[in-house]
Amino acid sequence: MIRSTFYGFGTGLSGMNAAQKALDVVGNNISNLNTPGYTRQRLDLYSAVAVSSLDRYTSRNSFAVGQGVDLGGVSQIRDPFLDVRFRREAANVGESDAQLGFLEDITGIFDEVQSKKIQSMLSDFKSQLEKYSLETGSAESDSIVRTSAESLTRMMNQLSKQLETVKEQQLDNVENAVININNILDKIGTLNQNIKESELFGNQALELKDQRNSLIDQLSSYMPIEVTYEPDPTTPSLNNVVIRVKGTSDSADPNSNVLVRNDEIGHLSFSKKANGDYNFSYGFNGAPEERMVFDGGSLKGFEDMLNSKGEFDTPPNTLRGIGYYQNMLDTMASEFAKDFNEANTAIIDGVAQGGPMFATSDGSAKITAGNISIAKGWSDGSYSLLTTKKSAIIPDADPTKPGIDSGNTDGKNDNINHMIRLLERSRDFLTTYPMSVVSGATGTYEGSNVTFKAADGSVIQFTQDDSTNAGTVTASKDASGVITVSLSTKGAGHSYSAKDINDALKAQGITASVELDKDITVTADGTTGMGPITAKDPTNAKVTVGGIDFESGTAGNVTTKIEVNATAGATEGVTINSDGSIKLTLDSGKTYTTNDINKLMKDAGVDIKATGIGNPVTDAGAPLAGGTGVVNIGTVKLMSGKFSEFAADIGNKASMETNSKTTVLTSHVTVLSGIEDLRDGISAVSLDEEGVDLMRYQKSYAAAARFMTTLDDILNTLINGMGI
Amino acid sequence: MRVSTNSLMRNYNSRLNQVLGNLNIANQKVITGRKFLTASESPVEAARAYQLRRSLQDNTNYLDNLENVNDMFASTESSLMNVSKMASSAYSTMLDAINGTKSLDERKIIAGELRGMQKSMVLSLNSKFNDKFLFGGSSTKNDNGEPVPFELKDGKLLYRGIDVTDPDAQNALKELADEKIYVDLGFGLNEDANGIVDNSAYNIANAGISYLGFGTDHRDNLILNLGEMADLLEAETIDPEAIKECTDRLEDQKLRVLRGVTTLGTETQFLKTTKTMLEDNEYNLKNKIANVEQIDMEAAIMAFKEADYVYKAALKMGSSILSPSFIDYMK
Repeated sequence: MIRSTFYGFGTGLSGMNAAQKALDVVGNNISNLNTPGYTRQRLDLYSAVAVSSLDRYTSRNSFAVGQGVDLGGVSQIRDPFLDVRFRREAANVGESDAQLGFLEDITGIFDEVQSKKIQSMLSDFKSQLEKYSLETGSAESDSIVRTSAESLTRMMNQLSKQLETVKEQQLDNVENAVININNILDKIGTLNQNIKESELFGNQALELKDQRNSLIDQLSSYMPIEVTYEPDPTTPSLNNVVIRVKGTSDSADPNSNVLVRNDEIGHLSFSKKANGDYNFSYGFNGAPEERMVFDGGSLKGFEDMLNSKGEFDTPPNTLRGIGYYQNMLDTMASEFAKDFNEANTAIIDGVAQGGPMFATSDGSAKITAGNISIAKGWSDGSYSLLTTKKSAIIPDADPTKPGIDSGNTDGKNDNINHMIRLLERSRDFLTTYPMSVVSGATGTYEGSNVTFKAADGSVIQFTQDDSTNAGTVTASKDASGVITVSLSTKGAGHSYSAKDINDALKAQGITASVELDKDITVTADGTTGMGPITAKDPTNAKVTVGGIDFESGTAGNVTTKIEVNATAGATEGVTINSDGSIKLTLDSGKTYTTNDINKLMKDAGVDIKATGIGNPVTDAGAPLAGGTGVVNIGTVKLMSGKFSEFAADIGNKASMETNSKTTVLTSHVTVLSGIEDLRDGISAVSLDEEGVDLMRYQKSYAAAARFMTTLDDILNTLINGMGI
Repeated sequence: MRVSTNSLMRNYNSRLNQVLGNLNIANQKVITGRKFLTASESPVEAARAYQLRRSLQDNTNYLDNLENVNDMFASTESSLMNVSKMASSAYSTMLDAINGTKSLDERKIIAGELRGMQKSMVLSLNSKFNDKFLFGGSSTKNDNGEPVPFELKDGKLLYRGIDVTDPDAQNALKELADEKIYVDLGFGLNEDANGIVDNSAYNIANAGISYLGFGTDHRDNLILNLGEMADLLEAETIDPEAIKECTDRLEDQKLRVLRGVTTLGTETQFLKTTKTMLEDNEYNLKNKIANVEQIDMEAAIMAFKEADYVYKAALKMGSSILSPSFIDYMK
């Protein structure tokens, strides 16, 4: 084989070129040592195939030598699997971090390790009562107790306000997060477009991809995401990035969980609902925004902490958000006020004595931690603490004779001791949860595991309709506020989910929704009407008293007696007796609907509803049968203990949750930083390595140059040195 | 595993931060002397601390009340002691009066003495402590013109405005003599349908009438009995039978007052024992609080020194690890 005279020069040149280019890459890597999200680059080198080695006329036993080095391109060194792991863990960190943010603020509010708050105030109130028990009759001591009580109410006001502030601050946080997320989505969309255009022109756009990866990493702490690459519909050789979020959307749009597809992006928003809950709404590429519940990430953490009330939720759960602490504080305030107001009121010798110690500062009927204050009568001196509930008149042994007035009894302190006892005794702190029930004209159940959440407390009725097409659900609301949901009974065995019913309600613009743990199955054939829908746990859930069907609660642990009294001309109303039983008084001369009775129940704050009324009530003028019955109310025991223990419990729960969440977060952060180390192990720049590369490519450049010199020497020998 | 320059720096940074954080906590513990600075740092111990603080506060309340009751009882005891002394003196005077042969004038002098004692007793029983009557039972003040506990008027003795010989008031007086005012001294204050359960709190009521006695007969009451005797002594002719009856009763009444004084002494002793118990409790609770909340200074300083050492070592390691790389050694 004959070798071209200048054959080796190309080889040498390619070596010098490659070394030069490689040094450029090393330079770029070193320059970007501290660039966030930078992925180290590498020059892809291949040895060049020997020219003509595959020529048709080349002799078979030729000694084909390669022609130097080929530059394949510059590529990034990245492990996609580590990206997936990183992003999954980032969502966990985000969720725990968001929850911890709330909890740290809350625990700080109740922390009395180094300061005096509600527990200390309560303790002081008790001390003052103890002192007062020896100083009854002294106006000065009364005012000391009042001052202490006032400090206690102010402390409750302040704690409640601080919880509000925490909520407001965290709301700001969420709003900023939403703005940031929309920004990120926007940037990713733009980057996708740029990357695609670059790739069309053969440019790999490595730096743009780094930027995109950084943004996706940021996004992953907000919500759990899944990144896939799908072929572009118009240019299948190019891949589009598709980012999806894991979560549940109310939307029927198949793209409802797509965040980004190429340059199409979605929009996230955050708003407060009529029931006081906060929701995220999301819509992709201009689609209407619908409620989205994320499976993880900081957005889920935020939503949980903002909306969840733990034991105060319907149904109760174990996730204690800010609402739990607010409700605990409110329970403390209202129970405290209730006990002491009752203690300070009495009728002695036919004269009303004393008066409520606590009232609301905003004039509302319900005492909460936010509005509890000293009652006006106590603070302006109209009445003072009732030291005794015993009469000064000592009855004579002979009841026909008048008693003897023992005169001034200012030393009596039985009622002060009773108040001390109120603080000493252990009691159950309970909360009941509303179990709304509905009535149907023909079918009756609404039941134990069905919650009907009409914002205005409206009653939802079900009717069947065999005139509409199979599967049709319609809804309407009449002038009196009763919502009627009509389910088609055409055909048999139709099943309706909560979504079917909610869609129908929504279509009519009715602000109500239902939640079902099981779909409603219509078993009737349309001629016999809708069959009963069976309650999962109907034990004691229903009772008929005086011709009225009452229903409430699931497997509640408190039984409540209902008494119905009906007499002609009586003023209708609901009263709650001291033993918790409920008395419904009706005028037997009037006609009542379930709605009338439910309104009376609702006004009295009773979570029991009437679901049907029999003839005795609906027939005007007919005598109404009285009677009693028992129903279950869903009740949750918050704790058993003294007031002071309850007050401590609020803070203790917060600090324990904070402590355990801190541990959880630390472990997530450790895992995340481990993954980050692994990822850096692949993708980040090492100065040692780059230094070695510098030397290596410098050497190879020098060697290639030396090769050229050698070739030159050979040519010199050939041209000038051969004997001519 | 491949180690990149940045991950080395990042890890160093985060560890240095962690070590500095530990140093900060160790430092704060030494400065504050506390085992934990926030409840979330040590929730179980914080809950325990809250509980102990409550118990200590309760104990302090009981001790305060007890001091108050103790002082009051000391005053009560000394006033009742006066009455007792006067009753004794009246008794010996009476024995003297009936044994000897006294002229009417002499008897009148003794009668005057007895009437003086009546007044003194009323004054003693109307004495106040801390601006409150000691012997009025639940009636402790007369700021608004209410009757004082005892008043001797027109030969009648009024207890809180009630004539002690009034036949219609005997039942009421019985109730008043047995009147109870409870104070919480940490005996587990409890209530039942009738009010405070007797042995769950301490009774501090002192109804003067219970020491003096009462009844429709004047002689049933110590003070009125003295008056009765004075009347008998002032009579032209002496009625030995009547005087003996009065004197016999006086002996009983004298003893009753003395029993009252003794009972008060026993109560004072009981209060002393209770005080010792509460003080022991206080000491124990303070000790427990110290154990739960306060740090062992030596251990804390050791921990601080250790954290400080670790931090300095980390700094030193940092300067030697981070600066050099291969590039520094290239020619």
